[in-house]
Amino acid sequence: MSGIEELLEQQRVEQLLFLEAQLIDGRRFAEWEALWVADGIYWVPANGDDTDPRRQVSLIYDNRSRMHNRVERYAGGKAISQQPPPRTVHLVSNVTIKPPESDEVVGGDVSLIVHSAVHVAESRPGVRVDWAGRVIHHLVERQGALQIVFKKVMLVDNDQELTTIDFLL
Amino acid sequence: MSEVGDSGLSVYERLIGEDRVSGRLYTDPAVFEREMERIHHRGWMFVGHESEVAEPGEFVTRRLGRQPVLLTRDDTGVVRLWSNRCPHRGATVCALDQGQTRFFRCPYHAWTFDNAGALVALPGEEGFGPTFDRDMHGLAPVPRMDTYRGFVFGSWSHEGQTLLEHLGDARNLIDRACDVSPVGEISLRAGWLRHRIGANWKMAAENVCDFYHPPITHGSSGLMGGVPPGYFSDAYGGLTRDLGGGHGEVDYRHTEGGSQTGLGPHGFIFPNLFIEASSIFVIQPVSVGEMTHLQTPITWVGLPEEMQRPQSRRFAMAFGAAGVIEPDDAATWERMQLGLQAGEPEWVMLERGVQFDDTREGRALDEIVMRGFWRHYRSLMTDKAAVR
Repeated sequence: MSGIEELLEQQRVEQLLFLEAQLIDGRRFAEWEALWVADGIYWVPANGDDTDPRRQVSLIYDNRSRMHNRVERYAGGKAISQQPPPRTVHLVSNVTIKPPESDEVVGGDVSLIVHSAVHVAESRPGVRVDWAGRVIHHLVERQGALQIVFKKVMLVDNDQELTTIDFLL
Repeated sequence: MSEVGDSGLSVYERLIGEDRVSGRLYTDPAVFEREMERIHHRGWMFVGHESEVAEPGEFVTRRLGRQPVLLTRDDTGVVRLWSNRCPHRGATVCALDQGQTRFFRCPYHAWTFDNAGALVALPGEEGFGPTFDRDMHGLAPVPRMDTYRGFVFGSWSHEGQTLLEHLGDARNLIDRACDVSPVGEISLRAGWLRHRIGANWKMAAENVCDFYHPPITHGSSGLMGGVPPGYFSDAYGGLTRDLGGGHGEVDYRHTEGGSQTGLGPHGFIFPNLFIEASSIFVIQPVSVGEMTHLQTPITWVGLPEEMQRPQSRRFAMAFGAAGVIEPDDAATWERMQLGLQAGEPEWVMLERGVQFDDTREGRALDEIVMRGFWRHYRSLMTDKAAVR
């Protein structure tokens, strides 16, 4: 890949991550779901970054149907913890593209592995929390567009007592 | 508000009625201080499970009341419970949540203890003189520790009820949780989710056997679809039972949908343990307006994977700071904590099904277990014999 091609690839990946952040902060959940492949996995481990999600507790370990259930609940107007909904701003940085063989791939085709960092400012009545974590995205090329196969958010304090996380990280 | 703690024992008789309690019990720091002294630093509390320290040298750190403790299994296989505090100058001897080790070394002067609590090394021991006795400087055990079917309980009091006396009829809850396993054993090794909530610990305690709230508070969860129609109604036939000693349960075993919310019982063991079908919850008070809610799924030893899996999937979906059930409970309790800052009306009402209190068993939605909780709480907070 030439230098120019690498730059374009970097920009394309960053634009996807920025778009995802904007969809989350804008509560455009249907569009966020459309970024995902049908068998995607959204994982937020607890008690460390390298746990076994089938044997140990996670904060979030969602397949697509659970992701749908989750955002339906956010948007449905019935959840007590969404009255009012938390306001968030996601800042995405430190975006680095890794070759697909650089990480254990959980399932499905993967074209690119992307490492990044996220800082989320959360506000709800009487509460202001800052969240931060390293993020891994596995992306796949489908009909000329990148889609999310796997997303893992490693919160810096996932081994501590945490307040409610009732938004997408 | 501080006169509540200072103005004599009869105050609690006034604040706790048969079908109502004062809102001040959830908001007054003096009440909280007295609870810590009278309840959490005197009576029995659940601290962990033997399976968490299954191997020699394994340890977990917890709080018993507000105090840091260290649960270990020593090299000979004995489970022990210590103050997590160096007997020299007081630093915690263990900073990790869990692990496996033969020795705990204080970071300050390197006093080193084996996993049976004995002081086995310290630098410059000769400088302490010929009378220095290592045996007098081991880790301090929590005054009382006992187990029931692998559930480990501790008490900061040297005397008082035995664990079996404390558990009373609530032993049955632990029995039923264990007996889902063909060998009668559970394992808690999946780790804990620890959720910090801005509300008084008693709100979580009272919520355990509140079957009036789920269709409302948890209407958004998507999990209500798995519950039979009308499940959370009096007509469905579920029962709620005050087990005495502040313990209680909701019992649907005899109903058509009896097994649909999980495999084990649904009950509360005073003051900090909630057995929720296939999960264990611990209520950890932090301050008058803060608690930590700890949660872990049960694994039943010897039960086929395919019977366990739906339960652990349900746990992953529902619980913890990012579940679809737990945040709505937390938000509700936080709203209660805010609302109760209003001093009028004075009372929080607990009158549903009061006509069944004589038999200590009512309809599933009745507030019988809450009233039983408060009767026991009142006896502890006013017990003259307990004044030191």
